Amino acid sequence: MNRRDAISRLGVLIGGTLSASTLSGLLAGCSTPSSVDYALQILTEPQFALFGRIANIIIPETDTPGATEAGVDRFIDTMLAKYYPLAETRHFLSLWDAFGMMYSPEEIDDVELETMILREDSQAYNITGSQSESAAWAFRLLKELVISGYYTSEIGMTEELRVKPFGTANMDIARSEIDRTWSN
Amino acid sequence: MYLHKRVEFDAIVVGSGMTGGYAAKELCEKGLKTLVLERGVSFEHNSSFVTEHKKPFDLPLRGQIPPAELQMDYATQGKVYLFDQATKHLFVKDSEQPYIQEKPFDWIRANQVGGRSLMWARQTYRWSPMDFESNLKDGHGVDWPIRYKDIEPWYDYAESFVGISGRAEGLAQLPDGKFLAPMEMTAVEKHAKAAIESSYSDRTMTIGRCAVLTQELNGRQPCHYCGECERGCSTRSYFSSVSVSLPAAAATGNMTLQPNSIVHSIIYNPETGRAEGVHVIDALTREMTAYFAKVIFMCASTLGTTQIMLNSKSESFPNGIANGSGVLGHYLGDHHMGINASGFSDSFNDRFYSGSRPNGIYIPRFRNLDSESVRSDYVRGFAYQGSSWRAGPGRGASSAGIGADLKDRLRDPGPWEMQLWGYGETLPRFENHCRLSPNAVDQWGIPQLIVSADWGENEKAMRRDCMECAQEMMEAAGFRDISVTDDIENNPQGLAIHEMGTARMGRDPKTSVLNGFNQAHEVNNLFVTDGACMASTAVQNPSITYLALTARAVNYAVGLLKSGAI
Repeated sequence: MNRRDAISRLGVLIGGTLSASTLSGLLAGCSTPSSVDYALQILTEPQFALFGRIANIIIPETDTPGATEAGVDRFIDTMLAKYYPLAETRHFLSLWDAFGMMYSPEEIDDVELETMILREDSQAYNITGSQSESAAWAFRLLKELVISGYYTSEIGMTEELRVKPFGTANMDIARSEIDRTWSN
Repeated sequence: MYLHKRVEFDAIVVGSGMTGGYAAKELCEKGLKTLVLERGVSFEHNSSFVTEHKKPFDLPLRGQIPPAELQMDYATQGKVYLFDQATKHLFVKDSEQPYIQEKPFDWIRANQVGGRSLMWARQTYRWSPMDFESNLKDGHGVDWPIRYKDIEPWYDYAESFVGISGRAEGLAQLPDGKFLAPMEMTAVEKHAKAAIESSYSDRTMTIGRCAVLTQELNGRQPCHYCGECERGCSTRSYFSSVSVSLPAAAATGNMTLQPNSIVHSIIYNPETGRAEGVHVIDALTREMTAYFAKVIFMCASTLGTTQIMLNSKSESFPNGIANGSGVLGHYLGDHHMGINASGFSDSFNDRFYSGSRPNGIYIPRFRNLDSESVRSDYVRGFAYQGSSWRAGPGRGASSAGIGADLKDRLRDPGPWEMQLWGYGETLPRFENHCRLSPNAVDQWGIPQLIVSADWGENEKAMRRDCMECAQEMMEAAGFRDISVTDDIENNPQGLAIHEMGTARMGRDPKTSVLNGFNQAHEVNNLFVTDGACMASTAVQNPSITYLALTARAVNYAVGLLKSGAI
């Protein structure tokens, strides 16, 4: 996707128009070193922080650890840097940057952000007039990364869920014989 | 550079995979000093199983391969269902070993000791008497030079070494074998079996017959149900050349196993009429060496073997060794697949499973078996493999819901899903073929293979019936949200990885390459026992048949050697 496409998709996302000069900063990429003990691969610090907060809203700490403790924020950074084609990653980030510009999530608390994410979530799977296709896509992709990242992490696989034991295969057992489902 | 060292063996086996490893074991146990040549790298039981039991979080990108890497290096290999970060080192890079697809053909290749026997799906079904008679009966292809009774004792022999778990069903179209205890079905599979068998008197659903041990055999341990056979098995529970056949061959002290050895061609001596040996290119140094032996077994995979034979040109055989008939490279066929039926069930939410069963269910062929089941729109038949499972936590990404409620919901298994996958027989047709490129060569200077194959009208008609039968069986079993798809576009020949037939057996040297003992009609110390030898495809997964033919051919060849006939 070229820069012009990215900008026009941003316009669709936020339902308005922005000047190209305002947007150029959003598309400039990232190189900011992280304050956390982790070298960011493609995300900027604000993007990394926002995705971490959203990840913990989607998979919060309960009686087991939540998303960021399981490394989901780093997983998102890694997948965006190394798995997805660069154009797709850039498109994804530009849409989330537009979200950031519109709502300034760094200035709102977790409760308010959760309300916002709850709304995005309900719309992303049942698109109404207020959310564009591309915004829904960007939300669903983030949620997919959070869920796949969490449930393939060591915490997600071994603490939150159960790893199938080796030894035998009992293909027809009562559901009640295990407390939680298998992660593999 | 050509160094003409006179290195002599009793036997040379080209290829170390499914059939090569087994040929080596049989030859070595009969006392022959045997050289096994493998074009790929060294690969050893256990120490080479570098991804066995690794969890997603131990693998790069949790096991996923970036689309850009797939496109660049693994455009064909990446289509295999089990291709991921844990297995990609077992496949060739298409970018490094190109071939030419005149028509789309997915040539799946594994260049290491053990070949594709490491990643095979382990399904093992005998052919039946009707499969060896079908060519003669309906006139497609040439008559098989053997019948079921010729191979039956060799099935017994191979199965007792391989170890097959399964259930005897007494079906004429799918003979029983020497089975270890069968694996178990899930609650949903048991239900589907009962519903299908009571709705259709001609149909059976059985547990898959597979080359995975359910009890100890010859010092090999029963399966520990990790569910990731393709990464290698430290307990030798599934059958592979690396873990089972080659160690047996090595134990005799008669085997020389040489990796990185690309066979360029077979050396033919017109004075003796024999294949004297092979020219081998060292994959690393590119030095060429000749090795000599009394008997040569070609087990380099269907297309690999045929490529070498086509490249073995001489005054006597200008179109490839043992190719006076002109059929070498022709009658290529794979099973056609890509018909998938799926459905969901809410009836067994109180049932679940534990352990990863490396196996599924099987619905044997039920068409064109007799006058009752004969079809007017196509000949031969199809079968289904299938499986059932409950959805995992990934389903949380496909619907709304976040937070503690979501976590809680995903602690439960999701709904049951069951799928059936159709596999069909492909008729032997001359135009489905491979040949050598007249100008393109690979990095070792060997002519690239051109492959040209497609599906015929018989296969297409069969697929329509296969879809309808899948639909009606899923309905009979009471599944909801049934969908049946025919993805023929993404399933060209090759992807079932059951390609066969390019050096077929037959009774007549004018229309076939090999006789009834897998011996070249025109070169009596040259044998081909991999999938190239097959005169038809049947519908069964073919490896156990290749193994039975291999043991039979070795027995015959060694008899000829001892009597001085070759």
